[in-house]
Amino acid sequence: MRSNTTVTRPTARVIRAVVTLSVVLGAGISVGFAANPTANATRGKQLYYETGCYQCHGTRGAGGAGPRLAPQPIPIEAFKLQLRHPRIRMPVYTDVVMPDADVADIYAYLLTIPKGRSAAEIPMLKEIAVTP
Amino acid sequence: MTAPVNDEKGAKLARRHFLKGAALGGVAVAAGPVAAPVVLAQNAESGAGGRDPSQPRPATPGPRSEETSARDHSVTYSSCGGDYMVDVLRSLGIEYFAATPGNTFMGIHEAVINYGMLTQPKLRFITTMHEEASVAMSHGYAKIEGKPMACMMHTAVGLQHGSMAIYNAYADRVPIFMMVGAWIDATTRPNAVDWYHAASDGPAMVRDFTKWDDTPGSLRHFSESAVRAYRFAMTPPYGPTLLAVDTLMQENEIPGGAKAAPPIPKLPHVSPPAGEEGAVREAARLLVNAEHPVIYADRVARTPEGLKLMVQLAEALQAPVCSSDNRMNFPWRHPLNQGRRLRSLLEDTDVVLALEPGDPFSLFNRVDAKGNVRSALPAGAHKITISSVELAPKGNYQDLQRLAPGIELAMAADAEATLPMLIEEVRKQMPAGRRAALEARGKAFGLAAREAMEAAKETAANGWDDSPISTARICMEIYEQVKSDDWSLLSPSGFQGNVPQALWTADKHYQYIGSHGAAGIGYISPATLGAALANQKYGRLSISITGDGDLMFGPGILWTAAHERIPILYVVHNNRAYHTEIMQLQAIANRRQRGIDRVHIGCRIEDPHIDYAAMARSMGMHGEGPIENPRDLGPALKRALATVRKGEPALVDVVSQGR
Repeated sequence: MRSNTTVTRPTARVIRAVVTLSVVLGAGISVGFAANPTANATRGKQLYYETGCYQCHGTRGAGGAGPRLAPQPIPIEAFKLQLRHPRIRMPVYTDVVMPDADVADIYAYLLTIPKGRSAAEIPMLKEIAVTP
Repeated sequence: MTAPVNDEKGAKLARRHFLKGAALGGVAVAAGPVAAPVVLAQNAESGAGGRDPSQPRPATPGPRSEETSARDHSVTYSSCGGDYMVDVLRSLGIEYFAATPGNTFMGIHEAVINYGMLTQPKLRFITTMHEEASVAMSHGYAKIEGKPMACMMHTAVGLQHGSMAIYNAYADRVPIFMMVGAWIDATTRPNAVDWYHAASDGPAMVRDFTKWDDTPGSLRHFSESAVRAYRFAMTPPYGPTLLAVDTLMQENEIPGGAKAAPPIPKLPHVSPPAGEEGAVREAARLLVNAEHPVIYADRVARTPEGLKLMVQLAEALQAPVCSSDNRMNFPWRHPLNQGRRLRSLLEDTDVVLALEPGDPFSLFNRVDAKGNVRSALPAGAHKITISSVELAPKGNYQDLQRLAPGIELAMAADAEATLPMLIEEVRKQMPAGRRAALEARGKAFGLAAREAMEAAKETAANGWDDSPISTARICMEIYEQVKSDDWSLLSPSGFQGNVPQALWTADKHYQYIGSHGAAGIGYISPATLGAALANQKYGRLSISITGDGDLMFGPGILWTAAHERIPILYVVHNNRAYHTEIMQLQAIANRRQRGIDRVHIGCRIEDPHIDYAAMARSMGMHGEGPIENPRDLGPALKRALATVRKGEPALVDVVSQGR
């Protein structure tokens, strides 16, 4: 059994501020935000599977039981904060089970996931009449 | 007892005549089993050298028994308890009888197949491969048809199998007419197995989650209790009821013959309990004067009328409706359908009307990660509930959920039955001068509904071309193929992100029937087949998106679908896991900081992968898959649906994302 690590929790205000920032930035300009040039996306893809991210977020980050992670992931600070101190229901990933280097690699993998087709580009979705 | 009409073409020998003929030949038939030992004894005695050692040793006559055999095969008769029981079921309007066979109810089984199935009105025997399937099929059937079907089990070994499905139906407030075969007179049980299959009070094991049970002591008692069981099952809150039916009473002759059969009590029209007039008036006053009323609907629409009434109430108030996943309470594309906005609407509301809320505590409160509870509503907001469950509460099982504090008006009444009075009162109390304000409110909700649908389309587009295939893609590929049909989605859609509610158009009560009830896995595959059975006579296209884990609880249901020729499209949401449990196990492992690299143990359904299409084909069904490329899904569904439209079941196995 691994040793326990004391997790210092940031204040709710800090969490809110970072998450709010990430939501704002996540709208479109987050690609490349704090991307670590030494991170290994290939390893990150492997870790994404091994650490179970895909179970809730889909094999390519499209979302499912959990929210969408890619393309255009939220800033890495907010991403890391959510892992260390989840605000929504998800497993907590301390640095014992997911060191910073692993977080960076996973994040690097998410950055490589290209944008898929929008609803307007998918006939089956486009043709659904928006009612009422 | 109604005189049966034999309409089976080619059935040259009427059952009654057959029985009479059998009675004449009874002596010869009966001579077989009892004569054999005598012959052996004669052989032994006639041989020159005494007993032939190659022959069994003759039975040594013991002291004469004072008891009689439970089943005296030398006696035949022209009337039987089983036939009478079939007539009782028919008098209740029951059309189907599901069972996995068992020797404690052969008396009814034989009566159903040789009497009920051959005479009008016909009672159809549905063969299942597990008692849980019998009950779950009955569960799904009732949600479509609005009335119970019958199912039967052994008292001990059958009822225990069926108990989980009974609990689901109980928690889902669904009527089922259940019977168990009960060999009551212990001194007549022929062998050890009959003792193992018996219980002194078998219904006790499910009494906590059935509405009512009885063990009739005579045929007259049976018919009275059957009518009572049906009435109780069909009085809101609906629920399963159970009769323990004596094995010998089913098998034996009607005392005094058919002409002496007891009369069957007439089933009355069952009137559901509506809310008290003063309480309804007060609820209307609060709603009419509210600036931001919210209607929350859980297990409300029991009938097609319930859906119409919900629309009338919402439109009279121009109030948003947020429906749970448990019933088709409101048209999915109605502008006042605000299902995705419940949380935000509650934050601004001044009056909430919660109709049949299964979990009012969670509706009215928020619990944070540390367990702190806060109200989901602003201070001073009024809370009104109408709940039939409060009319028939039970202890032990905790399906009532946590008590919600702060409810100021709690009507113990059936919501659907109360709606006409509430609508009338709202219309009466609504000032004419509020019309413009109401119209503006309704328009704003219409706009919000459009925005929600646009957002849902973009969400569905995420991962559209991924493999494993996204659950949104599965749902939309199905809809693309069936949207012009008279379709009926019979499985709960929570495992697929409720995509159908967000993007399909549905406005009929049978187009969605909700969920498990008590979240007991193993419901979807059999319950949706029971619902498909109900849809069959209306020619509806039945669709079931079933989990791989759910299907493997009772894969024999596929054989029942094929054998009974029930048209249904099974789409296996094959995420190769008990997926919810994986997510929960991840959370626990990480809290203990042990990592999650081993949480697949006990949760993943792989190594080897299961070939569901081959499994379906092995049971006589059309099977497609495993489908891994999203481009292959549409054509596979098309082929499968061609089979379903011809009246047969089909299965498509889709390797899917977790959720």
